[in-house]
Amino acid sequence: MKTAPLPELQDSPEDSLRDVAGAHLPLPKSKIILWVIVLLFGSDFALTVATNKNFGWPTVGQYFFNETVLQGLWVTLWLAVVSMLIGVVLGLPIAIGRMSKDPLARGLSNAYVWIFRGTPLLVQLIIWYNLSFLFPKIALKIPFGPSLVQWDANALITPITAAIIGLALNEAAYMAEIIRGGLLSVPRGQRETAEAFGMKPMRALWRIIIPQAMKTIVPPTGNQFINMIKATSLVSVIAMADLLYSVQSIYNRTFEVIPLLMVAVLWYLLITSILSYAQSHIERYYSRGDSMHAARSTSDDAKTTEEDAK
Amino acid sequence: MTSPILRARNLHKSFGNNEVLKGIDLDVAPSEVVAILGPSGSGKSTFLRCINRLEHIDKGFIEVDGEQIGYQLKNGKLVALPNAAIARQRGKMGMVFQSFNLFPHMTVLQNVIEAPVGVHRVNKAEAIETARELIAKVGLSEKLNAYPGQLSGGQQQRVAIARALAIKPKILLFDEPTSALDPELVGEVLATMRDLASQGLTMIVVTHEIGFAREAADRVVFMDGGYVIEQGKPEDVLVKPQHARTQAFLSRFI
Ligand SMILES: Nc1ncnc2c1ncn2[C@@H]1O[C@H](COP(=O)(O)OP(=O)(O)OP(=O)(O)O)[C@@H](O)[C@H]1O
Ligand SMILES: [Mg+2]
Repeated sequence: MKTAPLPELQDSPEDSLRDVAGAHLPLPKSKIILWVIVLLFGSDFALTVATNKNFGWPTVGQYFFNETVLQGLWVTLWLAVVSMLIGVVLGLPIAIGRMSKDPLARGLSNAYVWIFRGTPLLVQLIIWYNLSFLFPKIALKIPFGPSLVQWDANALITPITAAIIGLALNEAAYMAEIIRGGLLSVPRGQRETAEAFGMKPMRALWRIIIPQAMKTIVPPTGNQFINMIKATSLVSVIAMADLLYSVQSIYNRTFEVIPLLMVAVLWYLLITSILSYAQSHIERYYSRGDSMHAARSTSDDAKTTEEDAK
Repeated sequence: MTSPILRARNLHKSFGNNEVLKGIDLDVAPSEVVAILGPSGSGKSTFLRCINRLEHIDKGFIEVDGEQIGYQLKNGKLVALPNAAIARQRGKMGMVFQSFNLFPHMTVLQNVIEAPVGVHRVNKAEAIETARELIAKVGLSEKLNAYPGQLSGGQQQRVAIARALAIKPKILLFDEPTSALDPELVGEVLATMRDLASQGLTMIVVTHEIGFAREAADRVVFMDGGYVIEQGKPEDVLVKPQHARTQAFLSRFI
């Protein structure tokens, strides 16, 4: 069988120059001008701040690794981590409760979110701290019946417990909403498929729903954690020696208010920068199934499956 | 005669006031391939979903492999089964969905071993061995570690079929497995299913592929308006349908 001859290709003398593989990018003039302007203003501002005596940079350097400051930093960090962990752990069942068909579970979790999200954290902290004023005795008891165990509220509620309870319970309300949003973002068919394959609801949740919900849950959770780091500074009102409280205690003595606040500010910035960096890595992990990221991650996962097999 | 794998009796199902299934009776014998045809909205998907209890039925009963789905006779009284028992019953049925529904955060291999390892407690190395064979059978050995998002629709549906086979089901349920595919990808999935049909698997296939029904099915069931209107050998139902609705439906495909 003969095919009709193809029409002759029409070449032109410029063709060799037209190959896009050898193309140059035009100089982005307006962009360069913007860069220069921003750099000029930025460096001028930086220099002004750096040479401004009122900031007391030498004092900042002197107190940056001060023992009291580092102790406050430590308190801020573990308080944030512990409260956040409890918040997430409590938030999950509350989120599930809010999505439940069971009116009791739904009612309780809705009430929880309503109260803790609807009142200022500062007020909640003060109430927890002064719990002994409201309830001098705290008891485990049968409703309308006798008490089983009983504690003295004054002994139970220290600044530490009040801070953890206050921050964690408040956080749980916000995390519940974030987690609920994440669970809702997973298509219904995923859960049906998991159940059709004989997975029990809990297993479907852990293996199928939550891993997919994480993509939606992680970014706002990172946000919450960073907020939490800063929210811990509220506990200074209940005499908990966090980072802010520590620098305050120093400048109350030395009157170097701004330099010491700068110490705290720089530490907060440093922590939140590290957290943002960690967050971007976690996000990449949970979007591994997306075709956009997939090419990059398949080689790694090929390895993990091999390891799983052993 | 061997006892049927599936027995459905007087099945009724309503969504609110909308009665979708109005009394379905159907037996499926071991190794039988049943194709269910019918116009859109006739209740085909709902029927399949009732079989593995993604939907609860209002009346009648379904039995798979000699066990009533969702209920148990205890001293002459019928009581609802707990979730765990229903999960175990579902483990006997493999389901392939129109929209594939692969788990997007898992690789092809992980998708296929998830239920055997997690639900059926198969040893992991063994499950991987079986999964590799099944994935090879659907022609996707090079895609073992790919994510569903990296596969074409036809490839995804073949993985979904391998995943359904991996639990060694007593019965395979297909709900329009090729309807979401581009025309040029339909063939590869149908070929895989024809293969399974010839190997003696028990299959119920809801489909609009008349060609597949004619060649691969042992029986064609025609549903309309919540009833089974007509059923029989493909050469009878498809070539000389008795019922006017069946004739009208089939005339669109010729
Ligand atoms: N979850 C649901 N809630 C309310 N109505 C539903 C639900 N699922 C199905 N229906 C209704 O039940 C009827 C039958 O639907 P079904 O999906 O079983 O039809 P089908 O035969 O599979 O149609 P198709 O060929 O379009 O897939 C339709 O009228 C549909 O609107
Ligand atoms: Mg359907």
